[in-house]
Amino acid sequence: MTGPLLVADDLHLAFGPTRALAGASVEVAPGEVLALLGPSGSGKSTLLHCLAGILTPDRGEVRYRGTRLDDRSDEARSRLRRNDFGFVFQFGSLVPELTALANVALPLQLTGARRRAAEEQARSWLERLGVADVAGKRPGEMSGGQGQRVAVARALIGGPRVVFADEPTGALDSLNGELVMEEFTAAARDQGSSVVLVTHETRVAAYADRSVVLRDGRLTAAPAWA
Amino acid sequence: MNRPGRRGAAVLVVRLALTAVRRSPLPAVAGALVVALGVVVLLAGLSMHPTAQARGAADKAAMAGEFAADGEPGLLIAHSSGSYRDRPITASLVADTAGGGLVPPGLDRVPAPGEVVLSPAMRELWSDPGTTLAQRYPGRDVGTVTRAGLVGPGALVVWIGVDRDRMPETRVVTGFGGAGVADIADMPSELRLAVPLLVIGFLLPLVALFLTVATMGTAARERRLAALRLLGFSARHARLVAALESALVVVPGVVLGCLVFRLAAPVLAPHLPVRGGVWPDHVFFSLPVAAGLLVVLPLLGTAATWWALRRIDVSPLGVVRGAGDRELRRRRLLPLGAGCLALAGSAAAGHGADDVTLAGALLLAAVVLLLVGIVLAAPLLCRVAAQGLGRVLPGIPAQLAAARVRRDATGAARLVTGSALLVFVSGLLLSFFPLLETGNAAGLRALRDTAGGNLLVADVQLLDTAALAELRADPGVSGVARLTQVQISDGAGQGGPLITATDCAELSGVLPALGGCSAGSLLLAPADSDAKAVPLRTDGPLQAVTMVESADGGSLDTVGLGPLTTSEAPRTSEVLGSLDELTGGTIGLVDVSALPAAARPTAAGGTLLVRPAAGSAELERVRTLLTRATSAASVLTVDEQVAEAERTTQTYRDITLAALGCAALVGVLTLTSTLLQQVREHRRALVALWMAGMPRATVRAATLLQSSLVILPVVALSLVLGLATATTYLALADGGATRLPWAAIGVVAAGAAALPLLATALTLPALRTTTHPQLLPD
Ligand SMILES: Nc1ncnc2c1ncn2[C@@H]1O[C@H](COP(=O)(O)OP(=O)(O)O)[C@@H](O)[C@H]1O
Ligand SMILES: [Mg+2]
Repeated sequence: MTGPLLVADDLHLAFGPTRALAGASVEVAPGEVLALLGPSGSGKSTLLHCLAGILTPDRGEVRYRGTRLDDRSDEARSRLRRNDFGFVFQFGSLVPELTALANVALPLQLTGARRRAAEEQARSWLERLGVADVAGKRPGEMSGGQGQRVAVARALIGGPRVVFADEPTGALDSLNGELVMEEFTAAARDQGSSVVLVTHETRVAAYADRSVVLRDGRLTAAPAWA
Repeated sequence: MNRPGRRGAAVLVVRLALTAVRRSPLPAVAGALVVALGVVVLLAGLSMHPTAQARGAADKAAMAGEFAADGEPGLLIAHSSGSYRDRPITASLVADTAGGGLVPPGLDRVPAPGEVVLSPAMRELWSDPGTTLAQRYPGRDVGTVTRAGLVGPGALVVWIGVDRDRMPETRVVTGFGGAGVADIADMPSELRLAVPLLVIGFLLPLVALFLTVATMGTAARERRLAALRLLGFSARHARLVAALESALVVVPGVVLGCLVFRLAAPVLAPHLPVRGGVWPDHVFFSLPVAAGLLVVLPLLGTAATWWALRRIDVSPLGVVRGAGDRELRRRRLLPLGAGCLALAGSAAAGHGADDVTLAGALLLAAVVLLLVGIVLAAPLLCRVAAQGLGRVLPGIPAQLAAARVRRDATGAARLVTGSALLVFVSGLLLSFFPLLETGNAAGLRALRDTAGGNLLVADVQLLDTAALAELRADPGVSGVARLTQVQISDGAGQGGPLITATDCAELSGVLPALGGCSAGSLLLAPADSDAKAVPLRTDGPLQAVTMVESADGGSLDTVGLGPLTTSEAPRTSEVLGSLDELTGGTIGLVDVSALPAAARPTAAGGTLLVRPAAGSAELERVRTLLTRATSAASVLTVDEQVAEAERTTQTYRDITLAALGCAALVGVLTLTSTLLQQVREHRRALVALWMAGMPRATVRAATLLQSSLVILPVVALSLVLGLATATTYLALADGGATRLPWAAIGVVAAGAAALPLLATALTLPALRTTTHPQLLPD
């Protein structure tokens, strides 16, 4: 398939009086790592949620592989999240009650895999990200860096077409953050997943193929260093 | 693979729910235990009516029920009631007429004269000489009354064989299954409205309990569900997980509750504080009911969870509370307003008693509307109270409490819903008590007031003169009097009214308050005081109407009375009126010395009054003497007669208080678990406050304040509405002559307000462990 994988076209979204998005447009190409930069409160997370079909814009449309996404049913969008998308958030993307291994195996099981096979694959992903030793621990019992690596493994295990990452290293120190970013982008490129990476740190954006900057809910020209 | 296999998804969903319960077992276990307790209470409530019916049937089965004319083969039976230290005794004299082969239930043969058959509990007392029961019911112990003849395992029953000619009763019994003793089924009409209220008062807290338990763990659950949604769980799937989780708590709770009831009820039944205890198999635990609970309660819980989550959109980003709160809140006041209008309408329709049916219907509608209205209006009230408090009280705890209530008024109000409804319903239920008191057993209570509660009253079956002489001579007896009835005529016709004949000297010894009764006197009740008082011309000679036996039956004759001093009792004297309660209504008293010999009392019939010596601790011994003197007649004190007459009332009162007690217990449990839940949910906020330097004492004060902020206004509202409804009801029922039992209502309201605070205080120690910085990261 040619052309962009994911398109946001003139999105508007307000939370009461707050205009979070005011005409944001962006395109994501297959296999591309795109950084969404911008100051805090500029609407980056909101745009990411719209692209992933979690939030529905007030106006404008989101197209995924050529068809509209924002007007699909909850069931259909849930199916997309199950089969085509992966997520890494700053906090709370893991199920707190499950172990790291169970968390990583979950996307495979959700798409019908048997538990044993899913856990086997999950274990190899944990190894690949260097956190095999926390397989039996629950999110509350891991360090921030370990938790984010587990979250990356879980986002990638199903071979998603797009991974949405919102400040994935926001809670980590810079050394740890760079290590996680390196492993994350390498693994994503390996299996050809596109990545939408939200961050306010230019250092993190350096791992992207391309950067766009959001200000007051709309995109501005790319910065000189991009 | 594009779709999760249906089975695979189901297995996964169950596994996730199980994991969640396993991960935080404490709330789950506590929830299951609370559900179990609720189920025990529910089963006890459900088995109350069938148990009462089974007891009524057992009672009936042992009573003479079919009769034949004199001379037929069968049994002669005289049942009577006695008592030993507040335990009722059923004593039955029995004589076999012609060997008809009929045997009373529970006996293997009819005791011959001089023999007694005892129930096991009776034998225990009877064989202890200290009880004097072997003298009261003398005879040779020849057998045991078995289960067929006993209402409960502890029933005190004695069958006494007597000679035919010593038998006061002449009707021949040819079968059993007579009229049973009054039970809840024979409810006075004043109580009809109370039954649905009682059921509501009983069920409401239970329902509140199940809903609370079912929707427990909301915050943790919401976080978990959001994480699952991100992975592609649809909203429906997420709700399914939540519903399953609640079922995982409710189902074991129901099973445990059924099991506990099934095992404990038979063990406890014989010791229940009701007449004779309860046979274990009279406590019904029907499998269909248990199975029904096992289906209905989890369904209820699941539905509640589903509903609770429906209002808040579980989005992959977490939980978004439904918008449009403000419009919703205005509409919430509608049922309350409609209820108040219905109440006012009922009061207006009932005023002057124009239309009692309409007023009654409006009142019932008002009760239902107000119940719903209180629940719906509670969050609004809490929020208004929070706003007011935030403005009035300056301290940090008040600010914090007000802010928390304002943020989630609906959640805060859930805390108090149960108590509020309880206050409303109990206000209504308690207002029935005084109403009952005005109706039931008024005469007997008047007798108690004038004659004292310990006066022994015996219906004479057949007087044993030797035993009577022994009774009179006994040092434990301060007075004995006998009342009989004589028909009296002023000569105008053969018929005439009944008058009570007594020995005035003796009666004055028993009832010192009675004046105007002396040798040769005729004391008439005030002529217009009572419809029963038949005018009697006292200026001419009076005659007693007597029965003359002859070969071809009997005929009536009149014999002149001796010299009389006639007086009319002062209208203020209630003693004479209260004597009517014993004699069944006469126009007054005549001294026995004025009666001609033909009209003097014989050995049978009448009433014996015995006053035990003041402060006599030997009531039971005196009762034994009196029972023997009257051939095992019913011998009860006035107090016991009042209790007997008020048994239905008493049953109602006991049931009401038990229901309120259970409701309160369940309520405290619900509250405590809800509060603990809230503490857990606010853990992060609490830790943050503590880390920001707020002392734990302030956090505690804020928590207590928060509870009272919610509780006091809502309980006050329910109290006011409950009282208004009760007042309207009383005005309808008896024109407002009855006063509300303010004290009892006040106690209930105070209790309802105190219980949540108590529950809050109970949860305060939990704050200590929750405000720990290590709990901050998720
Ligand atoms: N659920 C929400 N309710 C109200 N306002 C919101 C919500 N989510 C975001 N906002 C507001 O929208 C704006 C953009 O938010 P966000 O997209 O999270 O910014 P960013 O991720 O760039 O920091 C902010 O002003 C934020 O306060
Ligand atoms: Mg953001």
